[in-house]
Amino acid sequence: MFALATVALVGPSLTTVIAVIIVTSIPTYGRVVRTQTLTIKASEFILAEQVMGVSTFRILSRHILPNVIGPLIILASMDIPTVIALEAGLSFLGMGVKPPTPSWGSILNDGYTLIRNTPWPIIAGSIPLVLITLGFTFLGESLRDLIDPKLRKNF
Amino acid sequence: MTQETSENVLSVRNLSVDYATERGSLSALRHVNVDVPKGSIVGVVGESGCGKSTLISSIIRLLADNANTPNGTIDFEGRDLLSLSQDEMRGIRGNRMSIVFQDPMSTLNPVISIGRQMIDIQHRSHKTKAEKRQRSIDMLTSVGIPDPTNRLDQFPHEFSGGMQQRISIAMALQAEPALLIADEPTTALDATLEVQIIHLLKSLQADIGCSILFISHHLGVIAELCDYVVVMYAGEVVEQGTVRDIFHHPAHPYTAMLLKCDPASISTKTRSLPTIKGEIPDLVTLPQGCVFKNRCDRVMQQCDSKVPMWREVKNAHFVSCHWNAP
Amino acid sequence: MSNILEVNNLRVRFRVMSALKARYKGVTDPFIDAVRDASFSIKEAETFTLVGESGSGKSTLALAVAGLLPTAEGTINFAGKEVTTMDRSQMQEYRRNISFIWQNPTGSLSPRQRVSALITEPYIVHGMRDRDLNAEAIRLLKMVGLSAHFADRYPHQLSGGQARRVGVARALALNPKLIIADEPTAGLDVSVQGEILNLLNRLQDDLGVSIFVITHNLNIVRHISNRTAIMYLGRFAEQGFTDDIFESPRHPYTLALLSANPKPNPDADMERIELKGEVPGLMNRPSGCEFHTRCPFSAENCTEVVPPQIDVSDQHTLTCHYPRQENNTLSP
Repeated sequence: MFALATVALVGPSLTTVIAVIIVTSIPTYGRVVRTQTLTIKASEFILAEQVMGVSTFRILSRHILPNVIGPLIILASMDIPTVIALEAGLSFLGMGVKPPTPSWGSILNDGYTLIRNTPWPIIAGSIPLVLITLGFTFLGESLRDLIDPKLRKNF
Repeated sequence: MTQETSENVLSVRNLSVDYATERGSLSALRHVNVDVPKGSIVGVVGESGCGKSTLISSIIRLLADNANTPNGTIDFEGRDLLSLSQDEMRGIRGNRMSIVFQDPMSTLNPVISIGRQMIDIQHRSHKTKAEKRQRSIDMLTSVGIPDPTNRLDQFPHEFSGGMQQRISIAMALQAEPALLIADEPTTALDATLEVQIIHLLKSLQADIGCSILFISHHLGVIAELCDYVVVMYAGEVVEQGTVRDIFHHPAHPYTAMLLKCDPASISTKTRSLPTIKGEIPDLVTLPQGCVFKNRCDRVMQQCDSKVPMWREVKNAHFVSCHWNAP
Repeated sequence: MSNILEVNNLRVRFRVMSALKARYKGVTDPFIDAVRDASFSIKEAETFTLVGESGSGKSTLALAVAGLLPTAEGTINFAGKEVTTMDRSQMQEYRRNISFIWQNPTGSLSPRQRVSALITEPYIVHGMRDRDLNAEAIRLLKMVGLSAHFADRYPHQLSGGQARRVGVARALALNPKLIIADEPTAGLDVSVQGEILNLLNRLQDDLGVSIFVITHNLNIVRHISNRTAIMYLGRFAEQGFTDDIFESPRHPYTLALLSANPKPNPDADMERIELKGEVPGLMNRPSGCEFHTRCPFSAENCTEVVPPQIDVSDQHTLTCHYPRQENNTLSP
């Protein structure tokens, strides 16, 4: 709704769409980072680093960040499909990217106008959307496994 | 300990449990025999990875999904628990058999008053609510909670750790079970409270006449509380007998070493404590022969090839070791 | 030998409610004392043990000594320098000279770092990058009895005993003068406990480091420490040479603790002093002697008058109105 209202107010363009998407998804990331950091901050190994005289910057970059980044990457990779869908949604409603810049949403929109004649433009337009959604989800899971040594299966 | 099942509340025979893991089959228990005679306290001793938790989980039939029980029987009051359905098991758990865990705070529901929790677990009984409430008050009195009538309406976090453990014992014994399984119930408590809980368990056991299977790694507590002791190592029961046989005349080298390692049994000051060299074998790729051979100080030729037999060294004292075998 | 650490009348307080709430509720003292009047010293190359049950304030005292908690009163003197008033750079210098062995063997190691990075981190933090870190990692692992291939492992791939050894290696990296070990045997099996304690003893003999052990496990105390203090509700009940404490305990709480310890012998003669009730919370600290609510020997003035610290023999002090007689444990 927020996205629709903003675009309606400012007028559709590529920049607006990007800005709107950024503004709507940032709070989620903030929350995840905050809760993760708070949990990790309370663990004994952080206290151990402090006693050793490790600087706050080093604790943040070396010990907290690697533990926060995992959930963040999953969130991001799962968000890519959402964002694509959001853009497609906006473009479908004619509030997104303007032709001639191509967009899956506009393709679907074009297909929609032809739905009485043939379903193929809709099907062809949605297949890549479905594939890319699944693809990014799997990518996120593999990335998490790669980053977290506990989930690496090579020992 | 008699090997006749009629005398025993619980009798585990030849029980093996495997877990399917990515590396292959992990054999957590192998041909385990444990007897709990009526009205006695049996202690189970062993270090981490010895299979204590798997043994409990298989007795209460709550093994993980990847577990597999290829052979064995668990005879409880004349029924083989392994052949019962989960519905029949639910009729036994919390009724004829109950369990007290290490951390009382994780077994009590933090958002429900202890009175309601104690009344709820009497759901099988057809008594009125007032009678159930009275029963809860009586149980709390018997475990030494002062002013139980008022404290019944309090929540778990309003009690101290020792009191919480008393409450979980009261809840476990409410149905007067035939067997109480106590899984390290004193580990989370301080020394002065530990003694209180041990004495409480002992006197309640005498009052109710139930049997207790007491799991602990604290040898002092086992020595003080138990009548019989079962020693486990790497998924096998290596020795069992009366508490005096085990502590005064250990027949298995592992038992002997374990007793020697306990700093409490060394009364003269030393800067070099005895240890058991080596590490517990990998339970996926078990060695041939005896499981303890790589750490044993009495190792012989046949230990390499032959798994030792489970034999009786003297009346009610069993061991699985080649040493001094006929 | 001179003292490496001297702590005098240390008091550590925690705020339990905000100033506003305290005023609203009419509470004049919105603080609790976690440590009260703690005085002790640790000599070079000796082990000092602090024994207490959970909630006695022993870990708080350790953290205060390490400069991680603000102190309310008292002094902490390390090798002639006052710790409580140190600025940032002095504190950094102080932390080079002390190190910690933490209670949780695995949980105190940063989970995303390899063992080699973990044990050489002290060098990087204290600006000693010039040395060959790989060689140092292997040297430290060797010192604690681990082979070089452990350098590439992650903390979760270690057993409890191995993780504990890595913790010790890390504590040794900067060649500290004082090691603070909080429950060094917690979570370890009996056979592994011995290995870790022997390791600490051996390292002390080789390197001359002082060790400050915090534990509730009485069984290990007499084998590792020269001097011992018993803590109850933030105050030292009794303090002295370990042998004196074990052979002729004088404070009723020490007696109760020692007698409560179950012996691994089914026929042991247990002459017990059983304590009534449970440890009171710090929020409602008993008046007079903190121990009077549980003490089997408490008399009238115990409930009102705070007992003074008395010296019974050479460096053996206690805070009690009615200490037990020497070698006669159960009668006053």
